[in-house]
Amino acid sequence: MPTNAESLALQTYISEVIIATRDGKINWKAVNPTTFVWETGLPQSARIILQRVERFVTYPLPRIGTAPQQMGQKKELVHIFQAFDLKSSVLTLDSSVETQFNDLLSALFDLVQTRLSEKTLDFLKSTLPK
Amino acid sequence: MQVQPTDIQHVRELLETPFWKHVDFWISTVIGIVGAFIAYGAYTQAQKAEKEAEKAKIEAEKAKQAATGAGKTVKLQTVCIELSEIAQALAGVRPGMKFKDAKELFNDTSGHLLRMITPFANQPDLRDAIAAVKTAIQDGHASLRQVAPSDPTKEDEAPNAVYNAVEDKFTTMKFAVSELTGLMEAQTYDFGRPDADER
Repeated sequence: MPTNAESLALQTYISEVIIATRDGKINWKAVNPTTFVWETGLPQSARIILQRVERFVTYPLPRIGTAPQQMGQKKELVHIFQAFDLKSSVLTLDSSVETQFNDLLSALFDLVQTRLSEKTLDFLKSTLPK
Repeated sequence: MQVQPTDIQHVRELLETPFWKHVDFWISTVIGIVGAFIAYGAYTQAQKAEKEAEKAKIEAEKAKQAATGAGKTVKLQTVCIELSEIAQALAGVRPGMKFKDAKELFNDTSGHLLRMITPFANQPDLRDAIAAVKTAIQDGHASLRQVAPSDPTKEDEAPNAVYNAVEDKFTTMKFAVSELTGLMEAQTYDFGRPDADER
């Protein structure tokens, strides 16, 4: 669990990744429908993985009178952000645990998904006879 | 032939004698009474035999029910053992798992599971637990579809993608199966209690 300062620094980093993705500076690839990978290349070779998964999360149900607190369960989209250097994992952020990252990671995921769809559409358009 | 006055006298005497003083009356009366006793004896024997037959029929029915109950218990126990094995197999999801392995595990367990639970689908006390298992199977299937690799040779680029996607769903399947197993085991306790003598 990152400290507050670390959490803030990570949120800033993810925001910068969002900006770079929006500006088309990052080449994300889809490994499967819900997982995107970014190979950073030199000077700092690393692999960044962003995945959206559906998880069951428990939440407190409204309390009725003096009855004991009941918990409900619902499906929620959470995100996993992983960074690898050449050998091993250096960071794993699971937004089902570190919920403060979920909105940012969700925004990044949606952006990457949109960019990749645009790329695919551009490719399909380029195949049309001129 | 001439009718003599003595003959008339004799006939008159015969007619004036009470009928119960005649020997033939007593012979027929005794025969009648003996016959009635025999008939009564036969009737009571028949009644007794009918009661015995009824009792034997009830005993046979009880024995049949006990045998059916024992058969059900054995069948349920077999199903419980197989369900426990499925739950154990579902715990085999590990980080780094490949899509092909996860799909194989899912196909094996879900097919087996459905085959096991379908015969119990109409049992009121198992209906909810069976519905939960079926929902968990559907969720498991959906989670697998979400990580079907676009290029299987590049699956290693995100080594934990399959694990991240399916672990939660397979765990839910495992819990649902375990709950169903518990309910079925409880039924075997109920079936095991009564026997033919107690009913």
